[in-house]
Amino acid sequence: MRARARALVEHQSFQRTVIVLIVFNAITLGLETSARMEAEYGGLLHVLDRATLAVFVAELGLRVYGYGWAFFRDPWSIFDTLVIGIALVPAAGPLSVLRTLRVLRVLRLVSAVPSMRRVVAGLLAAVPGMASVASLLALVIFVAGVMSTKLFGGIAPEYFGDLGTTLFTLFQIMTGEAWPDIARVVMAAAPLAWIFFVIYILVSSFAVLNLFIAVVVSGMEDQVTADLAEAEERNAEAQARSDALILEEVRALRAEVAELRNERDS
Amino acid sequence: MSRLRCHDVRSRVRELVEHKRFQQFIIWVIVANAITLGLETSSSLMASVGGLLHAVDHVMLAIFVVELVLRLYAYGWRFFRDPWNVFDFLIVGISVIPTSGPFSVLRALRILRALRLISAVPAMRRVVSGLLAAVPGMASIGALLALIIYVAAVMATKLFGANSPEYFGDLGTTLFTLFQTMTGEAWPDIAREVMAAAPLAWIFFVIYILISSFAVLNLFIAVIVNGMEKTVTSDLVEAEDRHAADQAASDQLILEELRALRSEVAELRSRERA
Repeated sequence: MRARARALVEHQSFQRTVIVLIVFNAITLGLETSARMEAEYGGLLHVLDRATLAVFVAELGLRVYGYGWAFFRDPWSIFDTLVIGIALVPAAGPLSVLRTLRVLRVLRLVSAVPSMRRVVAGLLAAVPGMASVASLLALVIFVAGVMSTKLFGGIAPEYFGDLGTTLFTLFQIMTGEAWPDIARVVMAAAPLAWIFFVIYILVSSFAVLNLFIAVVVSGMEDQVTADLAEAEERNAEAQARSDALILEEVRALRAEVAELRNERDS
Repeated sequence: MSRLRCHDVRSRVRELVEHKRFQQFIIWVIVANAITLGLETSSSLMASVGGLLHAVDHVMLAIFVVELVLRLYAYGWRFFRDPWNVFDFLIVGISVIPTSGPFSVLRALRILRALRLISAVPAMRRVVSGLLAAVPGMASIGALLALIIYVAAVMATKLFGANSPEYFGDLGTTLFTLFQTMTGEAWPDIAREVMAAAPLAWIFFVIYILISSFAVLNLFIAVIVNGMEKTVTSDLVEAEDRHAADQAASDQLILEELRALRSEVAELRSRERA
């Protein structure tokens, strides 16, 4: 029974049906955002949404049944469970924000289409390389945040009033957007504040640049190194083959000479 | 005798300082100190528990000072040979300076203590050393960029100083304005204001922006190339080394065979002669 459930879920046309349903659901969820469509066909859209949700739940149930506990070992399965679970939580009262999160179901397209899965897995593979630089960047922003709250909190409370405000301001400065406006306001009262801004911009953009580089390098590494290693491997193989040939030839030559000696001896 | 005992104490202190537990404890103190310093920025918290926060801050500072003194004692002058130790020394030193009168800005620098996390956590140390390793590659382009900005600043102060003193009034102001222009932020506002009085000023702005962004781009590339080189090359060198070892083994076999062949031929020749 389990094996049959598994065979069904792994069947190609079953998976294709699920993909089509996800796309269909994405369209109905998109239509729900239009007030006019909502007024005219709101009931129908809701019914369709419920129906697709029911299909998804049934699909998930089949997969859980088919794989047992092994189901939860695959992170993609957990992702599917969470995304569908959100839709099942009653979206009334304080949880009404969850209604908006229903559209996250469309992201199931990522886990359902293998090529998308590979892309996302590739993106995630770059994350560990970024982690150390990212934590350094967080530390730099925190230190700069506490410092500038102390230094400029009295001068420009709208930008540096408390730690939260300052962290937001520093994030803005890191993105480079309208930083001179902030700097000039502060510098009107504290002329030496340029030191802080220039150093902070240089350090934070250097760190961000290195974040990008970490990603690029890890991407390149996988790609270029794999290519080069393959070429290298091929060359080494050819070399090994020719070495084997030479060795064989030399051995034969030696046998020939040994034969010659024997002939002379006798 | 006393020298011997002194030596003994030193090595025991070093053992303590290098102990994993001790280092972990210091890391936790650094993190806790970063949090208390963050809390100090809130005026409502300062009003209610300010005294406690200050007391905790002082206790933590005392811990840092004791740790530093222990390390100084354990390593002697060699302590200052490691740049990270100098870094720790400076940061703790800043906090010990009395923060009254003209030095009150140093109070804000106390949070720099959180940066000790970098020197205390080995993984962070590695990241920063990696970042710093990219600096020499940037140095020449960085110097070129500084030269360009300086030349442009002197020129712009002379040309536009009278027109818009709020941007180009003196060299310092101009340098700041040009730094802003280089980051690309709101430069058209400045340019339009200057161009209202000096219509040909666009020549200066366009050339300056082209050159400085070209230089900045090259700075970026220097860093990127540096980062790539290190990782990719090390991987390839590893593969190359592995193959070289295989190659050497097979060469050895051929060589052995050739030697045997040669001795065979030599034998044959000596028989021929006899």
